[in-house]
Amino acid sequence: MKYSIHNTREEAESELQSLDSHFNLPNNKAKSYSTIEEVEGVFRFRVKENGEWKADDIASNVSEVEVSAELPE
Amino acid sequence: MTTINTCTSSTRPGSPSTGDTLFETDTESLITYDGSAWKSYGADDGNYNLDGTNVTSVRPLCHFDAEFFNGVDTSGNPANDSSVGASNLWKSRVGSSYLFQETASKQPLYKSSGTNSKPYVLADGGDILVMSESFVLEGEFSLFGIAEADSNNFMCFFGGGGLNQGTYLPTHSNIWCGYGRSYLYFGQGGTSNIALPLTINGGETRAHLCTRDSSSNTRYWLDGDNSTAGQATNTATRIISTVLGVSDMQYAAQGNAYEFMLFNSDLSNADRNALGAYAVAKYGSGNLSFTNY
Repeated sequence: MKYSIHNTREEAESELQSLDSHFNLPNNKAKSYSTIEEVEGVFRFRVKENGEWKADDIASNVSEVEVSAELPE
Repeated sequence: MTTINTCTSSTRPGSPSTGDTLFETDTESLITYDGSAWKSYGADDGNYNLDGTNVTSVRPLCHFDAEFFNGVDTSGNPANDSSVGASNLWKSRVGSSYLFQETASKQPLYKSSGTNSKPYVLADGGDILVMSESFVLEGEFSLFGIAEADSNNFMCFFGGGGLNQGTYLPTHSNIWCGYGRSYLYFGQGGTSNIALPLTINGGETRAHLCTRDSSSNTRYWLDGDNSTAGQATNTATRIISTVLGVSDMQYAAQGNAYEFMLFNSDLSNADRNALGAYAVAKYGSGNLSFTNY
């Protein structure tokens, strides 16, 4: 999955606000674009790679993050 | 005594007037035309007619079926590739509950045609849908789901409170069931109580049934009766509040979800087999096989 990754929460919030503005959120299809999470010292939020909310091509600092799809026994 | 006229889901009046009410025999529901659409009201108990042929003797608490996205018929199915969760609410065929998601990046997509040309909801590993009402499971339960694995091969059906969250439910209520690349899982209380080795390959559409019986034994069955069904014992009350993942976004699903059903009882073999016959008839015997109990 792809995330927009930032060094500070303020940077992440600013980028997320710009996406909210791009998609004219909130509206009747969503109230916000994504949610910020702090992981290993960076602040990131997920961006969609397809559909009407696709943003991996317009958001800044987008990187692929490997998310484990398998659980232990 | 007033006798209400009858119809079936395929013979509803073509030009109804507001207030017209009939008893629909195949779904065993009262239907009323509200001026723009038919509203369906099923009984609180008794039989549940799955498809006009296959019937369970008990009604589920909820049944989210992508083919009947508005909970009644196909007229409310979203367009292909529409996002699900805000303007498109996935409504249960039973009761009044619905699934929603107000955050854009967590909304799955509606797909018009999948296995046997049936619609489904595509989850990409970061999506989750929240139930409009939570269901408390104090004893027996049965969780039934139909899903098609993608190449990443991970799918959570029902979920409850997460391991480290406090948004929706306390941690002790967490529950989830689903499959990974090579295991079936049933987890509750923060651990995987069932981790049953069983490979599911990408593109396979399978019928999942997770049950807790009167002796608090929980089992996970795949495609009907099989000798390798996992088993765990846990008596704790659990709360179901999400599908496609757990409420703190753990175990988020990747794959195609066709339908979910939740019963607050263990099911008889006859009822389990009715679910299987329904699934095979709907998704095609060439796509989904089921071994009767």
